[in-house]
Amino acid sequence: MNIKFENVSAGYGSRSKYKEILKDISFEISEGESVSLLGANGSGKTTLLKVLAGLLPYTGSVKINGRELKDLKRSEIAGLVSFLTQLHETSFAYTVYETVMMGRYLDMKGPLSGPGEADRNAVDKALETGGLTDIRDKYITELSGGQLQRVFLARAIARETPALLLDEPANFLDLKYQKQFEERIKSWKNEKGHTLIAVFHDLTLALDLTERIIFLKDGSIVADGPVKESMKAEILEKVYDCNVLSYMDEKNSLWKRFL
Amino acid sequence: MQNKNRISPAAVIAAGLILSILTIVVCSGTGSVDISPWDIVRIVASKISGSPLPSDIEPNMSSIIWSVRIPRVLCAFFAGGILSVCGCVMQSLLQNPLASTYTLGVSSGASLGAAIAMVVSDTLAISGLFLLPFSGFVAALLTVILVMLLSERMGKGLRSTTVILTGMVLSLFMNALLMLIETLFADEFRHVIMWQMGSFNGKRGIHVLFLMTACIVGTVVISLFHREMDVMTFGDDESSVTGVDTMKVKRMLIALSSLFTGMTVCFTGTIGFVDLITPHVVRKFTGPAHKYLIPVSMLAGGIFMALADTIGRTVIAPREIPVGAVTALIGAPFFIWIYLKRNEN
Repeated sequence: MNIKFENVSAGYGSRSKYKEILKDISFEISEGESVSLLGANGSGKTTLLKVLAGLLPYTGSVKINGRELKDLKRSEIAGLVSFLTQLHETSFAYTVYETVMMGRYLDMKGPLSGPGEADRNAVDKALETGGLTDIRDKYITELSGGQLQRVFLARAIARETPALLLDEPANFLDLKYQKQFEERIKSWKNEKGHTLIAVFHDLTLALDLTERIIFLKDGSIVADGPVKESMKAEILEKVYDCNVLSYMDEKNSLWKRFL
Repeated sequence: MQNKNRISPAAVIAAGLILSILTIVVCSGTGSVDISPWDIVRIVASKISGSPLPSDIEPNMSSIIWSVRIPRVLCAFFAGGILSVCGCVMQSLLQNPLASTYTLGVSSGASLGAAIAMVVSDTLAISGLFLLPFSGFVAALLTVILVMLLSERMGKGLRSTTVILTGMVLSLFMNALLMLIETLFADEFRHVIMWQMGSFNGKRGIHVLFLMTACIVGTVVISLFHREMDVMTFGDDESSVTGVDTMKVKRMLIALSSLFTGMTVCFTGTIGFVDLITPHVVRKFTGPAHKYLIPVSMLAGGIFMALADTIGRTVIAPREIPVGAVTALIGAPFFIWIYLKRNEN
């Protein structure tokens, strides 16, 4: 799947109180690429993902496989892009299985049809990816934040779209599942031309899971390139307004002292 | 895939159907003169088949059952059914377990419309059987449209909190106008209060036909969106991302449920509580999936309303307790009881 942003601006609020977050952004992502979006809080990472998921109006041009995003129907966008959001609302006690099955919404035609073989297989696979097979019959209202995060990850994966957008997916995950998550995402993106675009808090996840990094600051792109070229001390310092390397050194020496 | 704590949905639907029929039969037999369920069945059978009445049933008894009690019980049943289906829709769409079509001002709008019609008709000396219900219906719909337009302007799209807040503010505003009218036209206002409390007294075949059609059509049409409603309980962004045309479906479902609530309350008055608690209780049995929740809510709401009306007209007979008071009097403790009980498990 090919994604092309040209002079894209977007923001929140209406007329008088409009706040522009993304400012005149251009880049292109080709099929099968895996890209990290990094930047400080409020730099526009989530906004960019929201634009791409068709959740926010924008000016400029966003093309998916050559077609303008604005002209695509809701169902067409959903067939191309899954988006794992940061916040989840759960008011009602669906089971884990029911929740993940909802990801197959587009594949079930009409109100009377039920899940078919392909839907069940996709859901089973996604449950396994999220490490949820054992708790598939639990109510989502009884789950911890980390478990819920895995349920929504499984739901996004069950949709089997060519592109996956992740917004800080490893938040709430304990170490065991974080490791598992990394392995699963790696194997997911190695499958037939899957495109991954992810916002990470943890820089090492970006190094480990993606080949390209786009750095954002105040809604503009500061650097964009392969990990080797863009993960540089001076860029990090500019983006995060602090000396990232010395901060990491401090952390590392702390580890060495105790382990 | 079912959670172990849940009862199979097919069993719940079957139980609901059986209970509904039992309730209708028993309620029809209860009143100033009690008639056994078996006699009710025989009366209905003879009326429907056109065969003569069994000799041990008095003809005037049969006509009380056929033209007074059964229409009344059926009206209560179908009104309760559709009100609880609409309540269920609002709770899911607004992701708020306390929402109902009344939250959107259907009830206060209808009351205000009825009050205005009352005052105007007395002044202009116009009248008619359907004046009060019709003006109530129109005002209820206008209120909901106003709530939706305002909340779309205020926030991005129809955000749940905005919708609920706008609905509540407008409801309070309408209630204030209602009080104003009450102060100015105390004499005419009596009728409005009677109408507001709700009653199934004097309902006939034509009412049954109307409410039955509204209830069945409403339940079926709303059920067609069961999958969308499931996804929409997770919030607007999540449902859009999943592929639901959220704004379109939300507008349509809010309009549909307000329409059906409006159609119902215009004949029965603004009876509360059924729409709020029935879906909650039903969810404890069927789970939140709308495929089962909607039809079972319809049956359960019907049973609840038919029982409440029967209790209202019998406990202090010959006087009647307004059915709206009964729904709250039974509903509130029952709701708390079932909630505590299910949470213990």
